[in-house]
Amino acid sequence: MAVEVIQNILQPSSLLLIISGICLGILFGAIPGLSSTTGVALLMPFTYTMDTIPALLLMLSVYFGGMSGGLIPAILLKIPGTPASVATTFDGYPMAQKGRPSKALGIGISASLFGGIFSALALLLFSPLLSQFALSFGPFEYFGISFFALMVVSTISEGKMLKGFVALSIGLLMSCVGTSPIDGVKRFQMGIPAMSGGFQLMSVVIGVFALAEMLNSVKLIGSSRIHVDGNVVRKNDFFLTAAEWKKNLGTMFRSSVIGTIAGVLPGLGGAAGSMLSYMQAKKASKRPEEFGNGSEEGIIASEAANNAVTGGALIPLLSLGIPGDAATALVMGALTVQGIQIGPGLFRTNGEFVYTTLYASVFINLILFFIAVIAMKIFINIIKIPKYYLIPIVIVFCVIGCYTANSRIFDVYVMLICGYIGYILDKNGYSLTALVLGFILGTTSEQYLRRALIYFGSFGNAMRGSLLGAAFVVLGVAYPLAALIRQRLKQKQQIRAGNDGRRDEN
Amino acid sequence: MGEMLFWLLLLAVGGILFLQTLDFKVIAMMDPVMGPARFPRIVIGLLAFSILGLFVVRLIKKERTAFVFGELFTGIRLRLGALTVCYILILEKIGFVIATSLFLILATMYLYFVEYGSIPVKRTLIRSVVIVGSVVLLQMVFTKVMGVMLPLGTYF
Repeated sequence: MAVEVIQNILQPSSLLLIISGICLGILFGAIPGLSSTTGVALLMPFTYTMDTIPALLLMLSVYFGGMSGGLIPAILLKIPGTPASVATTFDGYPMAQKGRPSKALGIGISASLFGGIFSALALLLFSPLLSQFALSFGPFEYFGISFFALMVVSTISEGKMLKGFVALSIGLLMSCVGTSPIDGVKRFQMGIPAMSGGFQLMSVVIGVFALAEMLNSVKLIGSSRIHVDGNVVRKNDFFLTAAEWKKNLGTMFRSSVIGTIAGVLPGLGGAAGSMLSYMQAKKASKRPEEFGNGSEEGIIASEAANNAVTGGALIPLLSLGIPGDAATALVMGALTVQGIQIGPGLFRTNGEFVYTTLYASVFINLILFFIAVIAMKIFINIIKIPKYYLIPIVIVFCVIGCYTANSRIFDVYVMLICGYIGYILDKNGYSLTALVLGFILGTTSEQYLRRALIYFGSFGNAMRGSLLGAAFVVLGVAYPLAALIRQRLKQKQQIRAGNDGRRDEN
Repeated sequence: MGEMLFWLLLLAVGGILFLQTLDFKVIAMMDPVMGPARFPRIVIGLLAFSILGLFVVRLIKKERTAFVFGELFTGIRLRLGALTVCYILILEKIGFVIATSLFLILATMYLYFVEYGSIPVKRTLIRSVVIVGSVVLLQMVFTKVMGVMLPLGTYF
C-alpha cells in the first residue's frame, strides 16, 4: 500500500494541489489577523466536489503552510502572523533588526521543517498503534476518552476553568439539537423544520472560528499598512550549516516533542505549544541572557514547536476522531461532507485515505521548506495585500462554504449567529475550542454513554465492568481538580512572594 | 454587570431547554436507562453549576473586567456586520452573482474609506468591474466546473 500511496502523492495533479495549498497556507499564515484555520475554511467549498484524496492533500497543505507562514511577519515586522508565532517575535525581530533578517527567516524555516517532519513521523508511528488499540474499545471506553478530552479542553486555559465549562456546555447543548441518538426523538427543534437534522458542523466551525476572526480583524483596518521590502532576503542564509544544525539539534528535538504533545492534547494548539517550548528552551539554555535579544534557540523553540503541533493534532483525529485544534476540526468537517467517518475504524475501512494522510504529512513538510526558500521574496510582497480586500472575500467564502455543503440558506444563518457568539465568547475569555469540541463530541459521547448504560445496566456497573473506561472517567474528573489545586498553590506562592517583597522593602 | 446579564441569559436558555426535556418522548424499550432527556439535563446541570461558580468567584474577587459586547454593535463592526447580514438575507432572493457583487463592492468601498478617508471614483469603478467579473467567474467555476449549486435568486 505504501508504494501506491506515495505514487498517488507524487502524481503531478497531487503535487500541484500540494504546492498551491502550501502557497495559500503560507499566505494566510503570513497575513496578520488571518490563520491556517481561515485558509482551510476558505478552501473548503472547493473540496466538496473533489475526490477525497486530492481534497485531503489540499487541506493538509493549507494547514501546514499556515502554521509556517506566521513566522514571516513575526520576524520582519514584530507582528505575529498567527497566534502560534507570537513567541517567534521575541527573538526573530531583534535578530532581523541586527541586520540578519535572512538568517532569522532561515532558522525559522529550518526549525519548522524539523518540527513538521518530527511530528509527521510521530503521526506515522503512533497513529496506527493508537488506532489498533482503540479498535478493542467498547462504548464505555469511547465515552471515557471523549469525556477526558472534553475535560482537558475545558480546563486548559488556566484561571478560566469555569468559563471553559460554560463554553463546553454551550457546545454540548448545540449538539443535542435535532434528533437524539439511539431512539431518534426530536429535541430542541423550536418548530423549525431545518433544525430537524441539527446544526451542521461546517456552519458552527466556520462561524465560530473564521467569521469571528474576521469580525476581530476589522480592528487592523487603518493601522495595518505594511511596509516591508522583499529584497532583504538572501537565499544562501536560509540554509543552516552543519555546525548550526549540530548546535541546535537538542533544542529542535525538545521543542518538537513539546509541540507534538501540545498538538495531541485537544485545545492546547500552536500558541500554547510554542510558548511552552520557548520557556523550556530558555530554562535549558546555556545562554539564557540571549533570549529576547535575537537568540537562535528562541526562534527554533517557537517554530519547531508550532509546526510540530500539526502532526500531533492529527494523531487523535485519525485514531480516535477527536480533532486537536480548530483547523483539524474544519478538516474533519470537510471530510464528513465527503462521506468519510473519522474515528478508530478509519484505518480498517479507509486505509488508503489514512496512509495518504500519514505519508503526505512528511512530503508536505519537505515541499513546504523548498517553497519557503524559493518563494520567500514573493510571500513578503504578498503580505501587503490590504485588509479591505481580504476581509470581505473571506466572508464571501465562509458563506459559500456553509451554503454549498447542503444547499441550505439555514446553514448560513447558523454560521452568522455562531460568528457573533464566537466573537463575544472569545473576547470574554470563553474557550472556543471547548465549544467546538463539545459540539463535535457531544453526539458521539451521548451515543456511547447510552449504549454503555444499555449494555451494563447502570453507570456504576459500567465503571466496574470496563476498567479502561473507568480510568478515563476518573482521569477526566481528576484533571480539572488537579488544575484547580495547582492554581491555588500558585496563587498562594504569589501572595507569599508579594508579602516577602513588601517585608524586604520595609 | 454585562457579564452577569450574559450569565442570566444563559441560565434562562438552560431553563427553557430543561422544560423542553420534560416533553421528550421516552421509548423505554430502546433505552430503559437514560432516555433522550438525561444527557441534555446533565449538560444543563453543568452549565448551571459553572455559572453559579462564576457568580461565587465574582462575589469573592473584587476585580471586575468589562464584558465585551457593545463593540460588536458600534463603528466598523456594526456597519460590516450589517452589510454581511443584508448580504445573507438577500442571497437567495437576488441570487449569488448580484448579492455577492453588491456585498463585495460596498464592503471594500467602505473598508477602503475607513483606511484612507476617501473614495477615489476611478479606482472604485475599476475595482467594481473587476469584482463583478471575478464573481461571475467564481460562479461559473462552482456551477459549471465543480457542479456545486449556488443560490440563483427568486426574483431573477
